Amino acid sequence: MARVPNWQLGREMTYPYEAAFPERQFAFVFNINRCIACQSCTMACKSTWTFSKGQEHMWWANVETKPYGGYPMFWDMKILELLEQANPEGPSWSGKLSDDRQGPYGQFDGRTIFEAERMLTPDSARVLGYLPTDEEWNSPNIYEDNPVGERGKFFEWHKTGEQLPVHKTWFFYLARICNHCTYPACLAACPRKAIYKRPEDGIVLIDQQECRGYRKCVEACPYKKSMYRGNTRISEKCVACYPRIEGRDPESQGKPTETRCMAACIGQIRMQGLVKLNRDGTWAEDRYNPLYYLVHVAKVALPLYPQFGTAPNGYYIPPRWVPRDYLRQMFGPGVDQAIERYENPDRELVAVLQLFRRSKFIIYRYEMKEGPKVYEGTLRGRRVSLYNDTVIAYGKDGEELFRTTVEEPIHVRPAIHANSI
Amino acid sequence: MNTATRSTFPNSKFAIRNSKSDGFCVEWDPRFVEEAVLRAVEARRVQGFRGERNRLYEIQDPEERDAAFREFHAVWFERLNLGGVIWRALQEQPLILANTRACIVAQARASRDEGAELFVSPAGEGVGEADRRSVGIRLGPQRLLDADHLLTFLRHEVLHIADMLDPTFGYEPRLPRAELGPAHERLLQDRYRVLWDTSIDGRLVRRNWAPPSVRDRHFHEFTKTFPMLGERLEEAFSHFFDATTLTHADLVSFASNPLAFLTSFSDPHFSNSTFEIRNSKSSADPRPPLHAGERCPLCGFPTHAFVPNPNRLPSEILARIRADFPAWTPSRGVCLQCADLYRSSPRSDAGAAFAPADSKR
Ligand code: SF4
Ligand code: SF4
Ligand code: SF4
Ligand SMILES: [Zn+2]
Ligand SMILES: [Zn+2]
Repeated sequence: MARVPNWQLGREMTYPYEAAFPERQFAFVFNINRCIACQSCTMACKSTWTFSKGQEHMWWANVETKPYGGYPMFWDMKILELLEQANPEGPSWSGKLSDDRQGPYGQFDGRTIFEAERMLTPDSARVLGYLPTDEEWNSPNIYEDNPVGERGKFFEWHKTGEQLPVHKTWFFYLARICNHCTYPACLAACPRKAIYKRPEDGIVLIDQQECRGYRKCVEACPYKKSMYRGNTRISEKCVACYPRIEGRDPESQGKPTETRCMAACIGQIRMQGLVKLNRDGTWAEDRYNPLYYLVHVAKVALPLYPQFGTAPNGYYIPPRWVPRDYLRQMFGPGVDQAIERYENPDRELVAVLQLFRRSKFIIYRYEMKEGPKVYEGTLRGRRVSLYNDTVIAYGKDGEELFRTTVEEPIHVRPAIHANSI
Repeated sequence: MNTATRSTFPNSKFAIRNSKSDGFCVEWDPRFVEEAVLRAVEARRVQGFRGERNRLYEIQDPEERDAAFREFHAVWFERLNLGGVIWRALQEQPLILANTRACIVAQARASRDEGAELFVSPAGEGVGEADRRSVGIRLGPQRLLDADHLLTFLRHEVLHIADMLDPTFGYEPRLPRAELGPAHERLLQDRYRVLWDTSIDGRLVRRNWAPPSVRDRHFHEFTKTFPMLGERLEEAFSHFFDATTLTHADLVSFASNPLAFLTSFSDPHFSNSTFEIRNSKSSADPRPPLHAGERCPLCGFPTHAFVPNPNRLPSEILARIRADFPAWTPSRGVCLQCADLYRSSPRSDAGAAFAPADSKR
């Protein structure tokens, strides 16, 4: 067992292999506040990668309704429960939020899935996990749209259940893909070393020639994003649409292109990119990379269940209407600050949020050009001003991908035919 | 174990057969075999298995490779004697060996799907009675790792099948139609199942095939199913748990009318009103709580879904119900559908206000 730095936990942790970081890392930000569960992402992935015989139960991309939904069923409750047993004193965070990129959320003092030695069965296992049953894989959208009401009340929704700051009657949609973790649990668990992380972009792949169907990765991945295919007896997982990332897909025109599930997003909640890493695995300063900005400057986007310890590379802007204790369990101690900033965005954040889904190409850098003030008023007791700034997105070679403004252009249609287009 | 036939079993064309008994064979669903072997190998830390299995991945043709895997797992299934316990449970029931063609063992999707069923195909020319019947067993593959527990479970399940094949038991696949409709049919089914399970486990305990603690568990279930029997519960329970011979007809008649059955005992206690049938016109409150399968006092439909604490319904809803049913009190109970209807009535009134005038009445 090696000691490796995990900046999401603010400390070193144990991992079966020495740390090795890619040059750039595949990463993404999902803005939960915008997802409408249209499942376009889900189907974009399905129709590209998992439409063959033996893949019927596979949904590399899925969108589940929290808190009751989950694919496979109850995956997060189950792994949280195991972690709770591994942390009888209670998993906890100490320290404070800070600007230190080695520990922006303080320090996680509990055991991760790699550190729960005494819970492992057989004791030769390397990662705490469980193998979902067939039944658990079978209902990807169970509990869709089921809200939580007030505790102990079964017959009514709360009268003001939909009012902010926190809804008393609530649910939200959690869109998920493989997190292409910095410390993949799937990779750690594979007895044949058939899983590898690519040095150029950190994408985690299962070598289909090497896999012998031990299913250790399925058991170990805490996000349950490695899946077993019964007819080939080989495990499969999200491949991060690597031909698009490499710019080799015919649609890419030679440019690094966002994945199918990102590009298909109707709610415009998704942005994916490739972030630069330091030698210790922290994100290298890249002030005008939109992902860097959202995670490390605005700090509105947070890792999903950082306490698992895999250092996932999927980041989420938490849903502002959901009770905070639930969100803190899911996204760690940064939740309150993230929501506060998202609710009261500064000029730059408003502009960066416009970058989502204006183009299918990966944005490497953005630039803001200030525009005129277009609105002044009060919101929740605070003065707000809105500026019609322009934000420009640049691609890998510094070429301009697109530019857009905070205010959407308004087109007025002549009134000759009420319904003409 | 249900009286009704459930889903079909995997096509036995793909099954691995092995025959150990004249004319009777067990067919194993390959998927179940493979899963069971993989789990057993891991739990028992069997050496040599993986190396041998890994070589099959090198077979290029997918069909050929698939067939090789099936064959390989079947061999190991046999070698590890994983099916032994199933064979044993079946062989303890000569009625099954003599009167059915085969037993098909397949994987259960979830633990609630585990159990045994009897399948009977339609009569055809030249096909004997026994050849038309087969037993289906569904199990989670991990069950084979704990042979002792599994044996107890299987003995219970196959005794259901043996009863079904036993002419003196007189099994009928359909329970009589309940005059009160589907909700009552389900009630009848539930009661029938409890009685049959009680009688089966009573027999298992007497053969030392099940631990004596089973009695308490069944008594608890019996109490919940027949609360109307009051202080006669223990006596009625013993009638089923300790009986040596019971027939399908005995179970059905008790399930259809537990009260009538008890009054047939010549016991002086029975003439009193403890067992008064509850749809009599008495309006005295408070009444005992409604049981699953009884009629909702508002809509009159038999239901299994009563509102658990009707007195905790919001007061506007209670008032609306009372406006329509002045004699009703929460202690008389209300079904979930009626409660929903009254909960939504303010909204339908509001909606009606917007309806065009000619649609209003
Ligand atoms: S396509 Fe976008 S909006 Fe639709 S479900 Fe997926 S993440 Fe949500
Ligand atoms: S999310 Fe799971 S499958 Fe994906 S890299 Fe992390 S551990 Fe592996
Ligand atoms: S990145 Fe590609 S392979 Fe992965 S979930 Fe999205 S569409 Fe599927
Ligand atoms: Zn039974
Ligand atoms: Zn009713």
